Amino acid sequence: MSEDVPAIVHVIDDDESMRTALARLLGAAGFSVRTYAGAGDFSLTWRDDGPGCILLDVCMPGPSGLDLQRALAQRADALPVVFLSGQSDIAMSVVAMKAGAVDFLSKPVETDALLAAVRAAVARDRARRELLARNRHILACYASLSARERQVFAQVTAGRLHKQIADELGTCERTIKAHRAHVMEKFHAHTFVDLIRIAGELESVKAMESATDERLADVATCT
Amino acid sequence: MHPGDDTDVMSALGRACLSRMATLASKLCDASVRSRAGRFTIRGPSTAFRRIASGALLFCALGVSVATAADSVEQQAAGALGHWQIVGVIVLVVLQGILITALLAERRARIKAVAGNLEQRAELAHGSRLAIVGQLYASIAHEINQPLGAILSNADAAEMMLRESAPDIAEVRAILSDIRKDGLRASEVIRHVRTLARKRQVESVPIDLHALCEDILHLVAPDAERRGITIRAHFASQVQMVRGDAVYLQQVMLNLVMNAMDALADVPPAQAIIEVRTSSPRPGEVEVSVRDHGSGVPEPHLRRLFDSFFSTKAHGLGLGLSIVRSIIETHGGHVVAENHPKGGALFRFTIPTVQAARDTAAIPMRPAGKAA
Repeated sequence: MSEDVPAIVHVIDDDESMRTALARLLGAAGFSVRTYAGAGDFSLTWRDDGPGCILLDVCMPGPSGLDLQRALAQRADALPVVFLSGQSDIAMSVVAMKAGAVDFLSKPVETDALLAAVRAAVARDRARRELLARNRHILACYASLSARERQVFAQVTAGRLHKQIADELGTCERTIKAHRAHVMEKFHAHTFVDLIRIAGELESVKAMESATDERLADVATCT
Repeated sequence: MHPGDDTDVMSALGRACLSRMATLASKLCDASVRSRAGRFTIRGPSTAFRRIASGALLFCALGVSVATAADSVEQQAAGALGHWQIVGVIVLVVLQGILITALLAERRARIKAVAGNLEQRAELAHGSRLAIVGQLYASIAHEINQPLGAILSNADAAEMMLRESAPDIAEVRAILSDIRKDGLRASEVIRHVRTLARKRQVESVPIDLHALCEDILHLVAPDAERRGITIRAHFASQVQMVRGDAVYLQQVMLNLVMNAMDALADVPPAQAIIEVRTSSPRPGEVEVSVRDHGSGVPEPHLRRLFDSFFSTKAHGLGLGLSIVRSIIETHGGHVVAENHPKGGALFRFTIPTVQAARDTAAIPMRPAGKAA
């Protein structure tokens, strides 16, 4: 993701004049802005079309900002949230921050603070997207390995010698070396150290995915 | 004529005068100030009339006494009367004077006490309004912060735009107009709160009851949202004009709605509903009802709800509803509390409409903050 694509700030506020003012300000600061009159409006019309963040009011008719944040938290592609509240108390901000908000600002907000929070949120979203792309890439590479190559990859990155692997798989050392070369090529790894690093990343991606699955299963059982 | 007969006649006359004046004076005092329970009106003749009446009475008393004394002196000159009789008459006159002074002093003290009572009531109503404003602090802050936030963002956006090489002047103009609009909006909120918080004299003007209810619902809306409470308004089709004091009636509405919100504190959100309804049960009368869907009021409490210092809340002073009742009765209406057959508490109050109020002149309101 390149920095020159303007990030999209989704402004959700029930107050029309506040919405317009924020849209102007963020527009002047170089963001692309979309406005929504409420949490429901956002949920119905939002589609993921680029890096950005959500600038969210707390108290709105219908579902509140905190409700929307809770709903979004169950999605893998959730945008980071910056809260901008007209009436905030400590309990509210604690709930919001614990649920992963980037910042909790109260109206009227200093423009510098607002822009800093929005930029931080956008940076977080870009980082998330980069990580996601990288993970997807690694998973795709792993998926392209043949069954035998996967076995060799697991053994090699576990630090075993070619000879040991060849013995275990019932083939000769040269074949193992050929498999290893293919694996490195498919992962775009130039050195063996790169391959080890990729193995580590793959491990954490798999762990993360199973954790997400478990969490989603938990949510499903809870609700 | 026997001298003794004459003396007897004179003293009998003096006694009759004295007792007649005492009765008159006490009637005057009794009738002058009457405070009916719950209604703060001063009945009977006007102050000026009372002053003149008591002055006249005093003069009569003095006249009769002086005449009696003069007769006695004449008779004494005639040698028909002993000096004990003269002393007796003078003592009578002095006693009359003391009695009348005492009665007048008592009357003044009583008027003062009633006025003091009315002032205290007004003070209480004011205190209770301030307490409500305090409770609504979060709502008010929200109402003010919203336009202020918009103003700040708009101003900064305009500054950024003007820094560009070719600023969009039309957009900057639109921003300035919005800033102006939001400034007015914020000042309107402050004006509203100040009207509510100010110490004030009672007015009697035509009021659009629906607009007043909507105002109050708008004011409490953020608070209701924060507490997850839905407020539904069902207004009668025609505009209901009543005569009275907008701020005091707002206080009644605020009190009832805030009470209803408190009653919904432990109720699941789906059930946390308040219904505000206006209707016209009888011609010339409008009824406003506020119903919550909480657990209702225990039967033994229902009768005492409007008593002063009766509260079911942990931190309640027990004044809100007693003030509500005195305001409604001052407006010539009445208020009742009951449990809705389908659950929750229901508060209803009636107020005569403008037409009815004009026909019967039913609002016994006095200016200068004398009614609560």
